[in-house]
Amino acid sequence: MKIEIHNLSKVIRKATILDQISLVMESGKIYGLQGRNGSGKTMLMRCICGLVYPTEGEIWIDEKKLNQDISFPQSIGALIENPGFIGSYSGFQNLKLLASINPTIDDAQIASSMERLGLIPDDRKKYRKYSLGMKQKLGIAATFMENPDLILLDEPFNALDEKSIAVVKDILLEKKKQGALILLSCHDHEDLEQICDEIFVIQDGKQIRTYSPLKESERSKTNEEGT
Amino acid sequence: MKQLIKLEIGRAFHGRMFYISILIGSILSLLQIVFHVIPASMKIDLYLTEMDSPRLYPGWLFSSWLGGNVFDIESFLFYLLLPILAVLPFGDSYFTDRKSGYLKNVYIRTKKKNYLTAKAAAAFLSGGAAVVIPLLLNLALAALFLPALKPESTAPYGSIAEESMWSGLYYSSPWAYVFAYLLIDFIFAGIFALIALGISQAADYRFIVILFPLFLYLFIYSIAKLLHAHAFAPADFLNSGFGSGNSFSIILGEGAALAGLGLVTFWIGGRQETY
Repeated sequence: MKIEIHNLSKVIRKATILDQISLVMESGKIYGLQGRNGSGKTMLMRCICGLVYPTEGEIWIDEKKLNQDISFPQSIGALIENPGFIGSYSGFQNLKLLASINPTIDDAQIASSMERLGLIPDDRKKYRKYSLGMKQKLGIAATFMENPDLILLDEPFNALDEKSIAVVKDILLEKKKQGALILLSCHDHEDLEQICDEIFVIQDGKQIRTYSPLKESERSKTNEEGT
Repeated sequence: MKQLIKLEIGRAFHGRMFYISILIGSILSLLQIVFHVIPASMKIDLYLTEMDSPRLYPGWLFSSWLGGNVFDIESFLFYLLLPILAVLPFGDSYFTDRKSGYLKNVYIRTKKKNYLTAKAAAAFLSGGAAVVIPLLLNLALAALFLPALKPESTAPYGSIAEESMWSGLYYSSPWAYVFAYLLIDFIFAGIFALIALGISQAADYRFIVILFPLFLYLFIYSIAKLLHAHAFAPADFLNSGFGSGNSFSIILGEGAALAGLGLVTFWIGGRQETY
């Protein structure tokens, strides 16, 4: 999978949320979006999902133009802002309902996605009674249960304990190995730098810097050895 | 598309609110049986022994069941609450899907038009069913107690004027007349659920979505009464016992206008909304 974003801008009521963003992303890599609150990270993800139409610019996914050739990426899992599920359904029922839209996985795979994150598939507790952390875990399970080619995670570590954060990182690295393209945003740059191949820094809707944390750490190591 | 319609219909017909709506309708239905149908059935022998007089025509099924009489308080309440009974099962589901963020999960898995079509179909069918099931229950129970006599135009009550809509059908094939009205009730209940979907695009609160169709229903009723245009009031023409003044073309036109209002608002709003 390849995503190309050309001069993407989004203006809402005269406020520029995204300003001429251009990025290229390829499968088998983890990309990070770094920036303060309100910098435009979430809006960029919404645009890539096809949930929001850009004011200007283009998004190409595998040479298909988003909002023209396709209305959303064909194989995608996304958690944007907050997890969104039906309050009166259990976690498993919610995932099963979503998985039934394009049936590609069975109940066992849904259950295994939940278990991976420490959720109990047979738990009949309704989603509305879930704790914040459980809701977040269910949202993450929904993003990868169908083994999508593209995974977008907006602040995935919110409300998670350290152990769960480690599990999510393991899952992301595993999905990367399997060839998925992963884009995640996080306010904690240390978390991003640990697992990302490339990080886009966004400020006030503008892309101000792109760097590869792994290469930078190697460079600083070499510098230290030199001195 | 088919898969999504199946899923949404499953959600609608297995939801708690569908059963609550049926329960409310059924309670009114049973109360009408207990307080009106059963007492009427107890007087049948008295009437049958004095059949010579048309004034003593016994209470019969087609003029006494919930959807066929205009005198009982339960019937009045049922038709007053009809828009709410129709909206409760699934009419507010688009609003709750949007507010909870569930829509975002759906829109990365299917096209908007698929979801909107499935939602409209499920809301329409569940709204119609929630209204018609209690009516059918009442009709079946009333049939256990009262004779399904052919309506008699000279009877003191329960007769409809000759110029009324489908009066010929009423006097010749009352069962067909009753089921035709049940179909009209089903369709209008479904339309009220569609109107709730439409208002979901603009409403910020769930209670507005649930109550708006009722307000519209009462508004149309008030205007129709004010202008002496009774044939336009769904609160009247949905009850098969009214008959008088009903016009099929008005029912058809008003149904199409209300359905159009609900569907167009829902469709345009749904297509344009971003998340």
